Amino acid sequence: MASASEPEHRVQGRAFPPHSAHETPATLVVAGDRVALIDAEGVPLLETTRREARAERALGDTERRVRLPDGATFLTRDDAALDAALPAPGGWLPALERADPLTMLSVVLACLAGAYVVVRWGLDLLVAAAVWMTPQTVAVAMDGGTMPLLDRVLFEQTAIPADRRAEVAALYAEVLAHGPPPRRGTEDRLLFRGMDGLPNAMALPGGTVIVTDELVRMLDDDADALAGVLAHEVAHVRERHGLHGLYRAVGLSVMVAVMAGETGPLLEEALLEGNVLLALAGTRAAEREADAGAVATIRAMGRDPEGLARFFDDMAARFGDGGGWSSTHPGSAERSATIREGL
Amino acid sequence: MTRISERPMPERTEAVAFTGRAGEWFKIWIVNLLLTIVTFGIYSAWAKVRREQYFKRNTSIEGRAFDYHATGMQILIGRIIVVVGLVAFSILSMIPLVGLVAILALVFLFPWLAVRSLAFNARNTSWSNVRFDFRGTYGDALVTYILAPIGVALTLYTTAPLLTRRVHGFFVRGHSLGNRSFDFGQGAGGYYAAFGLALLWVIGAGVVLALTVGGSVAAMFATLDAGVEPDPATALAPVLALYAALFLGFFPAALLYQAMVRNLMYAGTELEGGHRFSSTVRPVRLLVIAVTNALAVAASLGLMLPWAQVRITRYLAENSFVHPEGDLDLIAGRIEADAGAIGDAYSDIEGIDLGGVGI
Repeated sequence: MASASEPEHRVQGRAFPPHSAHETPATLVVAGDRVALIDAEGVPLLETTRREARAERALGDTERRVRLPDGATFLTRDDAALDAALPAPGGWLPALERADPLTMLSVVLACLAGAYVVVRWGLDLLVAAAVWMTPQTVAVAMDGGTMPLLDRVLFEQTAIPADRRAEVAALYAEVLAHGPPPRRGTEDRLLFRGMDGLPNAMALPGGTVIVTDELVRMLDDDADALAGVLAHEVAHVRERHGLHGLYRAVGLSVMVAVMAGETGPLLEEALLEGNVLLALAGTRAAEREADAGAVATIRAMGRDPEGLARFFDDMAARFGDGGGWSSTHPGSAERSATIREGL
Repeated sequence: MTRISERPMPERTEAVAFTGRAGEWFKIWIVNLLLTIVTFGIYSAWAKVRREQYFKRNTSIEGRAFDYHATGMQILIGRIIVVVGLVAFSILSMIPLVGLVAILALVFLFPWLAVRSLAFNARNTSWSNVRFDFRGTYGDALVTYILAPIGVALTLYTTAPLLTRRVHGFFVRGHSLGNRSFDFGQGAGGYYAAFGLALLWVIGAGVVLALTVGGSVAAMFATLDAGVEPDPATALAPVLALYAALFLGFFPAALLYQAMVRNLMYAGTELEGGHRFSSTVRPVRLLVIAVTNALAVAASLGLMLPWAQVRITRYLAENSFVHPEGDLDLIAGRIEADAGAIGDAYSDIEGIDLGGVGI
């Protein structure tokens, strides 16, 4: 069948004719550019060219496949003969997968190190990039969408008298003037709300800062502490912590799924819950950052950062330390101690 | 006509064989992982092809293996489209009004994505050189994934087992192998029994939890009400109780349910020509495998994952059977490919992985 100048390669195996599930013993004959498939009696089943016959690279111990025109397939266990007849592209991959134990060990170590780097820093980078790309107008729109919802489920109307609200607003304006400059498009505003008698303050990504009535009353005689709390919330807005938290929770789940593939039942759920805990660790870091930012702003205002530390002590006395691995905020004692360390 | 599950099975039984080995798969998996990390995730599309091929080529019925035909580039393009779409959606959904429209659009887009995804997977999977196909309709998917779940919620989940049966019917009837289509028929009783047993597990876990840690949770709330500072140990009690309820109650119950309804789905499935299927998965055994798998993977920093995957795949394969009506070789010879499925496979995108049927 082959001419004298071109060596003929024969590979034994089995074949499926085009689009058929009927399997038959077959031989793949490769000579020069010509590729032919013949059955056990030597009857030709199919003839084609080298370009149309696509040998697939090895995968574990499974049979090697040669994809032929019209959905015909040739399968063989004779690796060496097939490689000689029709070399498969990308042979480095199966070679790496069959590497000696020492090479494998270095691959394992590289993966462990790589996975650590990716989760430890890659995620932060990815989140930072996503936060950077999000226009502030979108964040402002989020505030607009979130406030009606919060008003319905969480808040009541404020009972703080107008003159006291004006005082707090003036303090807030002072904080804005001495803090870091806003990102373009930010709409800074201060809202007063009642919240079931709980002292609390929060920031939304677009620039909305909310203080509860109980918090304002609690700090009636402590302008330094109130300035500290407001500066803390403004720091959240300036650092865009809301968007960070949002993207972090999503990013980590996607990252694990991309790296590990399907993890199977139960483990999948465990990973998801683990991500929530890790995302909480992210919010604890954000709280510390906002505390540090608040101290800088208060200093610039010429006020005493001790006020914020006093506030955390007061909160610890009323509600316990909080904090720990399942909490969104670091412990109050830790926070006041950190602020005082910086004094 | 009697239901498929009530008709007698053909006498012949062919076991599904899985020949994958943990050591071999570990090496392929770790190389996948390394290449995924150094290419910042881009290689994961090709890694998925390698994974699908390894598991499908090592699964066979009487020496005839399954195979996977999608290319890494197809999967990468599909993923890029999905990621861009999700980012656009998440930004749009934050804007009032526009967000509402975006969410509505997604609700109606979801069934379409589900059908595309099922079709992509089917058309890129073959058994004995013949491709599967999926021809479920958008309307059927809309009812199955959107309208029926709303109905289930409205009936306070008393019809949840019927939804599972509906998903099975949509999944099985939509599929075909070459020119042979699949059919599905199974009674509701089995689904309700499975649901009842899963519910019993949740109630049992609830009772055990209430008897063991219930006291400390109550103590925690009592101290909160009294306005006294709780000590850190009691403050953590509700969080721990929540996790205990999830991991001892709901998640195992869901897995037990999946195992039981898998057996029901196989028993109610028929391939044109009278070929039947059966599954003998034992729910508690599967739960034990899943729990020990999860512990082994966690304790090994993820390095035991390939072993865990091979172990659960082997267990499921060992408990899956085909009952062909007549000689499998002859039958295989009579199955012809539906050329359309192959052409369509190239134009499809891989949407979301729904895992409509789970295990």
